[in-house]
Amino acid sequence: MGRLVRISVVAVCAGVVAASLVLTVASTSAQAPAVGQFAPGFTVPRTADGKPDVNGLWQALNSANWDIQDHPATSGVNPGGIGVYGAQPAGLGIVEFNEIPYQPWALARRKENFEKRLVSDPNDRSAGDPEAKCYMPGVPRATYMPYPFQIIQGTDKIMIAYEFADLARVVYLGELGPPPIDSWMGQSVGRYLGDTLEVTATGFNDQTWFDRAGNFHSEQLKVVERYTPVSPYHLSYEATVEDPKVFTRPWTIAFPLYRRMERGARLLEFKCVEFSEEFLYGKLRRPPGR
Amino acid sequence: MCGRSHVVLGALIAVCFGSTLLSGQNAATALRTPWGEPDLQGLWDIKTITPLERPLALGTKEFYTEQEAAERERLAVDRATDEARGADARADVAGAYNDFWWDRGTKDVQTRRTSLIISPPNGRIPWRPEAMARNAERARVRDAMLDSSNPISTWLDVDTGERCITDGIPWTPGAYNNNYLIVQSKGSIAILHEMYRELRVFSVGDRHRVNIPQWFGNSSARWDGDTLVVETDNFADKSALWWPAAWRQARPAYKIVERFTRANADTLVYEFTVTDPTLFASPWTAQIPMRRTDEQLFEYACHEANYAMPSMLGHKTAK
Repeated sequence: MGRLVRISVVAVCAGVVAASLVLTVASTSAQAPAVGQFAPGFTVPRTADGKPDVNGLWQALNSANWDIQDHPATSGVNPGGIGVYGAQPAGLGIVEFNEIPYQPWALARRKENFEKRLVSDPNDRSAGDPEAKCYMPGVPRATYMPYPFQIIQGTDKIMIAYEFADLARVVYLGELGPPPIDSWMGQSVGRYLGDTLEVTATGFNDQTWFDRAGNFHSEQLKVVERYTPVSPYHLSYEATVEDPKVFTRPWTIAFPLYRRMERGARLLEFKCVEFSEEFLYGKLRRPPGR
Repeated sequence: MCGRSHVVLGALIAVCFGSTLLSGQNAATALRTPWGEPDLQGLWDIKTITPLERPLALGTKEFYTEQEAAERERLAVDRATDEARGADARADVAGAYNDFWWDRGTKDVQTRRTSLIISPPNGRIPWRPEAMARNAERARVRDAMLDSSNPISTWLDVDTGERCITDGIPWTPGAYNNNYLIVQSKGSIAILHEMYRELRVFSVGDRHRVNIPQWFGNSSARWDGDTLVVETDNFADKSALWWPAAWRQARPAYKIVERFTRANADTLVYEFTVTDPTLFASPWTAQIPMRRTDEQLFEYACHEANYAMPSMLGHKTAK
């Protein structure tokens, strides 16, 4: 082959390789939907006091609660006991670039979390996935668990009411001092930026996980969430996670939230404490007889 | 006259709570949300030393005098000290908490009623005699169990509050965490009770009925003038469990109607009527004014930190 032709072929091949690399990165990158993407010409409705209206009953439609990264179907938990009831479905990840930037030490801890996710030890409450014990799931996991939640936008506070474990997060609109104490769901402060409700949450304990795969954080966790209406039936949800003790840099998750549309749709009760007690305390049961 | 509070609430507000609580006009009409509904939002404190039921010794005495109320409040302040001890060493050790932890308040309700119950006239729960007998038998069984050599063998021997589930609805003043946060949007009201982090969300005016029995039943909420009325029935049958207060255990025959009225900037009047013909000779009603507070609500992570349960089941924790 003549030199010019060879260079051209190399150039074309390099271009094709470069293009396919770009395509590969883009196809596994979770992205927030954009305003108008689902409903061209959509304008964001306003509440009576002029704020972007995010009121309503919302739910994520993904299997991020199993694993926030891309994941295949697996046998999941207790296949011999409960068969496909316990299987993990395949799912697209919700993490931008599908990469969680753990510090090197943290990967071993995540692996340990995963292997011990269904440990229940009354003498070591931090062992095992808190979800299985009906403990509060933390932020942002509560957003993508497979249950609805309701946003009630008040005038100086917003309540985010989750069906799982009948949980509430209070979002304070305006200034608030540092969190007086660590908590499972953190302390949330919100503000409006254009069409978006932005919520900053800090003051977490280190007890919650991001999913059933064992992804975790420390008490230095900070989460900044952005809720933006993008159609009459969808919110765009993005959350940036920062934790200098566990990760090398901040990272972002993104997915759409879908409005629950059925007639009479509402939060129902999921007081899961009574479903967790056999799991938590079964080994401690004493023989009856007084 | 102050008894029939669901009649012309505005006039009663002026008489029962005193003109010092109102500005020149009816302050309640100025308290509206941006979309024009009565604004119930805020953090509301239900604590009071006024008991639910009128002590038997008071007979038909409906109100304390100012001097009597002041004396009661003085005694309450004296009692609410972390120096307080039980009557003897055994009582002191057996008590659940040092007085530092109780947060029952030091004030009677503003009306100076002798009970929160306003109907029937004797200010007491109108139990049917057979229900009282059942209660006494249950209490006897429970005392025997707790005094035995094996008091708690499973978590079901522990009451629903100690299991970190709930003490039931409707709400009355309790030991601590007597705070209620109300957040309101157009068509929805959320109430978060700090104790047990109990959450109730109402869709106001939604007539769609569901048939899903729940610990907190199925509720329908609507506006009646300036009052939010919430009717709840279809409670799940949890009557086989131990409850801290038998009158509000979840059971199918139970029905409640709650009324929330913003009397003025600093007062939310909470009233409830309880109906259950299997337990009570008649419906009965209680009224509790809640005071506005500027505190911040704390997270109530009861179940997550229920160290008492493994201890009660007889095993020591390693840490």
